[in-house]
Amino acid sequence: MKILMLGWDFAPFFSKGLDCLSYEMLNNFHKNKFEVSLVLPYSYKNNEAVELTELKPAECETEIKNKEEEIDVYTSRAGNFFRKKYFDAVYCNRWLAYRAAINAKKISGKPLVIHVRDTVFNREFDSLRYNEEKEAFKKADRIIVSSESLKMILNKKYGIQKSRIKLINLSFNIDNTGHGAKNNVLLMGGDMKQKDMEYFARIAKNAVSYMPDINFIVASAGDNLKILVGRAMDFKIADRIKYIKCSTKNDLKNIISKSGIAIIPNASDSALNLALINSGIPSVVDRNSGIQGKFNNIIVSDLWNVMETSSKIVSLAKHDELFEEIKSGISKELKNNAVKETEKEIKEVFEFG
Amino acid sequence: MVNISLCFKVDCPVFMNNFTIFDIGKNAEYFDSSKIRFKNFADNCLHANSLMLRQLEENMNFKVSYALTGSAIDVFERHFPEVIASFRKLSETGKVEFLALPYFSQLSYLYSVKEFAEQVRIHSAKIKELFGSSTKFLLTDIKLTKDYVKEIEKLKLKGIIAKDNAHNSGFIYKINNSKTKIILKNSYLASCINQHFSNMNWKEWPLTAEKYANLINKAGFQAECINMVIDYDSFGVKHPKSSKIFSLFAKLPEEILKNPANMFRTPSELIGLYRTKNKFTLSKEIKKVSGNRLQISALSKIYSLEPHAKKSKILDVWRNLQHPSIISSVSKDKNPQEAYENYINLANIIEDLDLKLNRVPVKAPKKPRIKQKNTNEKINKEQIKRIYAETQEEIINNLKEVYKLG
Repeated sequence: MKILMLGWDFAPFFSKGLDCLSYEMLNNFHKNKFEVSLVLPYSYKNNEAVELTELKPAECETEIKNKEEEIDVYTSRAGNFFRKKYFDAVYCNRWLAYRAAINAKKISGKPLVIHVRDTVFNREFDSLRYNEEKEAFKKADRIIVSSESLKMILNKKYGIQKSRIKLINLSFNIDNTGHGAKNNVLLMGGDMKQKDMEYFARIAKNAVSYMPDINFIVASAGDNLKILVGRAMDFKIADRIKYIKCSTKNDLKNIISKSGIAIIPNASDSALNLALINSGIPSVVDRNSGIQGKFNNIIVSDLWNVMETSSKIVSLAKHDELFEEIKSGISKELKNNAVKETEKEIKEVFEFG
Repeated sequence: MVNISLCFKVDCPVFMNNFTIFDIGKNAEYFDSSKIRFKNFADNCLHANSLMLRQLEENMNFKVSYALTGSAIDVFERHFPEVIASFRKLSETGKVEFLALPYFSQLSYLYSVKEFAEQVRIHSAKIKELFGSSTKFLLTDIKLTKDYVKEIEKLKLKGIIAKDNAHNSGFIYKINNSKTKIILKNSYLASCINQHFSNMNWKEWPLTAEKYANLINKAGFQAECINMVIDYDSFGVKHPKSSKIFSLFAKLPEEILKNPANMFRTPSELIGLYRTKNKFTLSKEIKKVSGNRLQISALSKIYSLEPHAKKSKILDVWRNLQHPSIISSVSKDKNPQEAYENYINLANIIEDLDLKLNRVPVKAPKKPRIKQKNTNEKINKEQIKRIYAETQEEIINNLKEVYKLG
């Protein structure tokens, strides 16, 4: 099978944030022996770690600042590229590339699979994005989502039938390098919502008031990070929060090895959340993150319930027996987990009868 | 002849409130003791009691015994006095025996023998106060050891109702050099009701009175006596009314008595019937608690507060924390996520209690004032001054050397 993949960035080699989705998808395509042509707006240099049959960038100019214009340029250049190519299916995982993907479907008549990690409803509203998404979801033959809540959003806000949506949890494993001190709490919120940032700031404030030596490590790249920075200043806890860039697997490994507890919010990047849990770090998980149904040895909380969540974080850091019980529990659970069948699931999505 | 002893254990769980770290030191309530939480249980108890009363009145030979835990008595006294009254009615028939228990928790023996003895005494006094009858048997789930039996003897009880522990439960046992007799629980017959009754996948489902009486008759072939301890929350709580649990017990006494070899006895009557020669082998030692890390640490934390709790006014609060339902709420068997949440609540409650208990001023014995103390302080200050001066001198000397000053 030959796949035309329309993407925007390619972590860990080219990424603005921590976005390992493209990389993991390519890995899965590779395992299924799919041939992939990846179209990116920028050129990249280092592709040693990726074993692919073909990987060609469609180069765009980087100076364009207007998003609409950027999309236009990408669409036309991607068009020039795929007109010369043969492929069996189109795969797209960024909203900026949706127009090009629809175009590719129209021209080639091949089925379109869209992979949704978040929608405009997970972020600040943007009418351009909403229109692009609505159009693409309508035209797509199949849609892959990473969480149950996204499935609901697609169904309710965009009117997409549930039968067209397939939930796949992509995950990647990090070689366990051990964890850090218990009072280092990691927040790995890929792109957190504005209100979630607000909640987190309050949680941190409460936790610091009770446990002055607690530290928060924030690895987030979203637009809403500035809210947290501002709030931390207001609450006078700025010195307790450290911001870390996390764009490669190595960064992630490094960060996990320094933290003792992880907070997993209801962010859309479920691959990352699963990777965190897979590292065996004791975690406080948001009730809507979609993880509480998959693992037993975690602490579940509602992020909006600031008091309760901060109490749970501090308790986990404070009580050795609880920490140890969860840590040993999760590592047992990970060992017993069934072999992941993600690649099989992905293969099924691309099988069009 | 087979003598049957039917015993009901009436226990009520203790529910913890959601207790965050921010509630510590703020006089927040530990337990949820609202009436609504226990309404269903109390209603079903009332219903079951009236059923038993009818049975006792209708069947001359039907007898039954009850073991009421402290938590159940507390709930009934506070919210449902009518349930206590109905137990009193049962007691007035003269065919009901009440059994002894530690008032709050059986586990207390494992952590504090003194506390255990006190709780049994409190319980016996309470039963005497409520129903006017004295307790003679201790119902226990803990393995019997030499020390444990000795302790029970001190409480002037005639016997123990215990787990079979690899003995044949159809006989009454005695222990070397002791008058205490032991009646064993028939675990299979009890589990038919306690665990399986409403389970449709169970091989004996649906269990009717005839079927159950048959099982009892079968067990009776190789036994002198049969003793069943049945949880009272089987009535309507564990098994819904629709499972026909009430109608089972409405027919059961009659069905059992159809076999002329069967007789109902209370535990006290039972031990009077036999001159037993069977010897019970005691366990050598008991493990403190078989549970997860959370349970073990919670228990040891709770019992470490004992000396402070005994001096304080909130002794009952501490004792309520010992209730087995609290310890089993942090068991990971059913739902680990819930167990962790419960443990956080429990740990916070224990911390708050610790704080409260230490706040109670404990009268320290007056010590005579030592005059030397002040002189000591002076000496210390002088010493410090001297050391300070010496080190300063040293530093100056060093500096002089470095910069080669005169």
